[in-house]
Amino acid sequence: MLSSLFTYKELIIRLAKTDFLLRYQNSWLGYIWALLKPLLFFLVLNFVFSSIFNFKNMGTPFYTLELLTAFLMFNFFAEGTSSGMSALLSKGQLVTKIALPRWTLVVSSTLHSLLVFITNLVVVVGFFIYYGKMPSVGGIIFFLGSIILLYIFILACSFILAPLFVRFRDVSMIWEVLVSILMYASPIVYPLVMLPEYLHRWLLVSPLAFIIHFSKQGLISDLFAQTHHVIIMVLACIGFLVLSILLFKKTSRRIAEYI
Amino acid sequence: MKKSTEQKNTTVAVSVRNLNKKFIIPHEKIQTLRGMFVHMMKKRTHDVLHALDDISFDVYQGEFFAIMGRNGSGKSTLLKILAGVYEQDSGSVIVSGGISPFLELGIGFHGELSGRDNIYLNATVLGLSKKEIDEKIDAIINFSELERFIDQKVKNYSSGMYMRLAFSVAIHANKEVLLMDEVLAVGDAPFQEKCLAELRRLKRMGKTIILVSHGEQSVRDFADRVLILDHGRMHIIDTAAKSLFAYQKLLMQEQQDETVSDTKKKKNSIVDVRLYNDRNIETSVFESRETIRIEINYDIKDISQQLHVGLGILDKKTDAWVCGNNTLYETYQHPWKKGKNRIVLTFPEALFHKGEFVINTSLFSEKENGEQVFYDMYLGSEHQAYFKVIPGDKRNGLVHMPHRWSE
Repeated sequence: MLSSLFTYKELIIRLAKTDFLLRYQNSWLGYIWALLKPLLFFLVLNFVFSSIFNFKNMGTPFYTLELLTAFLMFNFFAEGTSSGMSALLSKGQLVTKIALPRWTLVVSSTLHSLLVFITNLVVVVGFFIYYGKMPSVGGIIFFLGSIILLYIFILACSFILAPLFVRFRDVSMIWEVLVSILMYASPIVYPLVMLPEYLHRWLLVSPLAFIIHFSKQGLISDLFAQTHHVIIMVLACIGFLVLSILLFKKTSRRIAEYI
Repeated sequence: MKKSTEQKNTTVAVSVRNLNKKFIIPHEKIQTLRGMFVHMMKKRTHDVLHALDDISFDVYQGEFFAIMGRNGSGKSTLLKILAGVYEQDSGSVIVSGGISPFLELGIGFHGELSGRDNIYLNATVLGLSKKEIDEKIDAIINFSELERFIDQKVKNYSSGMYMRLAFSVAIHANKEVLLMDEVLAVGDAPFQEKCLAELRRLKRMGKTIILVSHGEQSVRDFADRVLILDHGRMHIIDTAAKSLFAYQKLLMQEQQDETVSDTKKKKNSIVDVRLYNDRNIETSVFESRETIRIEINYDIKDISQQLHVGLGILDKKTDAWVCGNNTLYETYQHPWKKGKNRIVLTFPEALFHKGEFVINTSLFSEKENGEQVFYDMYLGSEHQAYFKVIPGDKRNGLVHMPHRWSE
């Protein structure tokens, strides 16, 4: 698959670029508009949780920065899996009218979300500067690694969801519900320390929670997960990806007949 | 099923062997997980559609190969398997050299993108690298004749312009075997001519073209061989003229099943075709410029419609029509009666010069809307309705044209 990734590199990039261009209609205004949705949601969350619930004074002085980082990462996950899931259906013509390796469609759709996320990081950097917070080098490296890991996780979810969605059209609704459950099951709007100690290990089994929690910690408090935990999580995500690819190969073979 | 009589000794470009494809069509289509849970307890029933049943054929390099058949005959399924969009249940498809993997023009085209962006997108999808597209883009734009509009959004194009751009990208995709699903009706007449000329050029370059079509005209003009599919089976694979005639016959049977099913007993049919010379001797060998009398015998049971007779004479070697006559266009009113009928067509001092000829005859009527209902077709190749003309001199040619030499 790695060698074919190289073969289809241009195709994947072209498709992702087209999605990106179409979304922003070649204009900066379009980009701002696309950024506005997660940003507005973030502002609402920020207002609710820092002013009403007052998490700021509970040992998290940089609550706004934590929330922004966590929320944009979560948004990346939600958007990435959603566009990955609908990749085969929304690009149906590329499935039923031409023989392309179908995984390229899933990869390019999620890649588009990665591109959007990377452009959104401009806002994160802006907020860090505004609050005068300089993360440590280790924190930044861990954060960048986390993004790669998160992307692997998104890709794996998409490979499982995309053929399923073609067969069963209510999968998207079920997934939406699952994603909003995942949002509150991850330390995004609340800091992990707020939960009782015994819950932490259970929560951090979820790759999403693990990645978001330790990215925040690394960037803001310069605290890191234990090395063997990180290694286990990386191996688990890669294992999940391999499994999802094998499954996708099996389920996508006859998918053209169902679109 | 007949084998092609003149298989050229060339390399095989596409080899299809024992191809089978079945579709399972559930009586109740379940498209949601909820539906799946609800129906888990019930017994699910389904039909099996045998879309392709043991299909085997070869397409030779440089050949223009057409696949025809009525709706539901399996031709689209076959094309999709050739392209690699569908997977066969069993059997094999072996392609030497690349096959164009697409079935439609302008795949991935997006209205919000400019013509130029769409060329890049479409060409990438068709398997060209950016470098290749950079090299070819001028040729693509030139061929599409859209230089002035190339940086406009495609949604502002007319459908003709859209197809021109799409066709232009497709033929520059440069694969050894081109698959096409009904694309010969692209754009306006001059552009159509250009497309056909381009197809001829590609063919001369040794490219193989596989076309799925309904249009008999384009198939007759271009295809070297035609495969006719009927209910997922191979009906005939032969030269264009022979296959098209068989196709006509197939359609006719279908029509008859539909329109004359209640009057099946009243079937009108052609009994035989006999040839006589001017001394009234039955023969199949004539000298050039000898009178040929063709006698066609019928069994008529239904005279509620005005019946007509068509007769075509074909060159046996090439299947080219030498002449065609029928009583409808020549407004000959034959006094039809129930039972045995005879109609005679005489060519006094026939102008055939040299060669072997096939006689095809048909019996039909015309509906008010101009549609022709065929009752029977009598193929010379099936019933040995041949004749041979022996020239009296050393000159060549199928026919003798009245002529005169001068200064």
